[in-house]
Amino acid sequence: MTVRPNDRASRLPDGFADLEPLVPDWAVATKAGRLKKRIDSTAEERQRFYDTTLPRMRDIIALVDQGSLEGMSVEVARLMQLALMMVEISMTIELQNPVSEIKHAEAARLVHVYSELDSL
Amino acid sequence: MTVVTEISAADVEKLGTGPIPNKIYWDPNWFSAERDRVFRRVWLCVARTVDVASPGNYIVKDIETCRASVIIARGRDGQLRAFHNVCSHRNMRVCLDKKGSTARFTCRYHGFSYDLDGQLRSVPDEEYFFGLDKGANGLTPVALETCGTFIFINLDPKPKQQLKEFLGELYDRLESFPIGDWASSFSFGGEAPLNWKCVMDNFQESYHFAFTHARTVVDRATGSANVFGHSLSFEFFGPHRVLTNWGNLDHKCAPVEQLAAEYGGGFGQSAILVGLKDSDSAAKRSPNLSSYAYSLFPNVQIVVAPSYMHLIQFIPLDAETTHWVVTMYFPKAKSAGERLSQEYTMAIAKDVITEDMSVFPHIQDGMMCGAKEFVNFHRNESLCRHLAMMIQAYTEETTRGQTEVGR
Repeated sequence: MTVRPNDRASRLPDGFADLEPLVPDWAVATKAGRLKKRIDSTAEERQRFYDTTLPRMRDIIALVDQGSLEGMSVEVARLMQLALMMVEISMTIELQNPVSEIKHAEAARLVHVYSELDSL
Repeated sequence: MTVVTEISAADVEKLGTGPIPNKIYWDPNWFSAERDRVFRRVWLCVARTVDVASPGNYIVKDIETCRASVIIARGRDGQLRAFHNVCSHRNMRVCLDKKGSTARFTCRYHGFSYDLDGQLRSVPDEEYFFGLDKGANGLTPVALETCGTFIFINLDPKPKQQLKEFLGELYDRLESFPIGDWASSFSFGGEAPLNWKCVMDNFQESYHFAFTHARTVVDRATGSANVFGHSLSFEFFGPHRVLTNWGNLDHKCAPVEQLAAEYGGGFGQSAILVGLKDSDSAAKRSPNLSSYAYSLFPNVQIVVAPSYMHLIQFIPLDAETTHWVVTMYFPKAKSAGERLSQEYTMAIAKDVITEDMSVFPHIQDGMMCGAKEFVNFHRNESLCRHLAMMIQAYTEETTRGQTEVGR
């Protein structure tokens, strides 16, 4: 087994090393955090994340579903967080455009998340 | 092409067609009457039983309209009870958390402690009081009733109607909602500088979809077969009302949207709910049925489809300001794909409502500047017209019993 250069905190399950550079910025555990990341990021950053992650989405879901949603390892949880972030970011690319996303961000800063979904 | 909304001839006649005075959306005197004759008197849907599932669980719901804060707690005996969140000592709010699990509520100010059944259990340095009667100084009860998994409270110390009477024919429908175990919830909200009825109206008409939501729901909720996204049906039950939304089966999903639809059994599937007690009609059997939207008088909307439900509260702070709270409920996700699909439902709902928020600040001034005296409702805004009628009926009601209103 090769030793990976990545920090343990960025480690993903085997087979997903290509996504590890995304972990520090984009693997966020809460919906409120994912929304904040969305409105604090640039259009270029979001497009890069989207383009890198999209081809791996089905692989991510298949990998996570090898175990249970409850009690997943931190590595699997990070991978799932990337997939959930992808949903939030897809809004800015598949629904909004660069102009409407600026308006969305203005209004979204006034939205408060009161409680999170209990399951990851 | 267009869809012609199903609505009974009797309802069309009752609703009328004329303009509606805009005063009901800004006059502070009108608002005071709404607060006193509606919000302080009728049953208010505030939560679901799954929010307080186990003994010791509690939630705190604020009805800012009446400056009320209500604790809803499940006792050790399994019973749900509601209390004003006010200490008998110096009237401080007893519970400052919004939800949790506890054996007692202890006031942070001087340590008065109350049991889950509202009884005052302990008073620090009690002997120094002047014969304080603990038995008479429990938390003040608030009337609570449930229908299916929905919790209603009534701030009237002696409600004039039972919940079943207030809901009328809707009682059986709400009770039959096949969502009993949908306990996963996500909640978000904000403050809108707009009258509560206008905020609610935004959620009870699809006329604005093609414009306000030109980037999000437009192709899901309108299409060549229904250019302006007419609702499939409107029904009215006393002061309450229900619409069914039309979904565009020809909608082409974008890549992540497609994944969410595939894994969640979500988009493009008819929303016909198995087990729901409902009227049988062409609209309710339509493959284009995408969701049901129940507007419960005065200030709650429940939107339900096979894979999600939202409960939206429109809580007036004053005549011109509304605190809106959306709570989305889901069945517990059994797979990563299902969880991803739920994330998509949450994300798109938030985007759509954020778009609504961009129009909200530009309405109240328009109504209050004196340029116009009336608003003009479209046929697809029949539910907005009904809310205006019902609020007028309740607000002007002074001598007759409330049970006659809206029947």
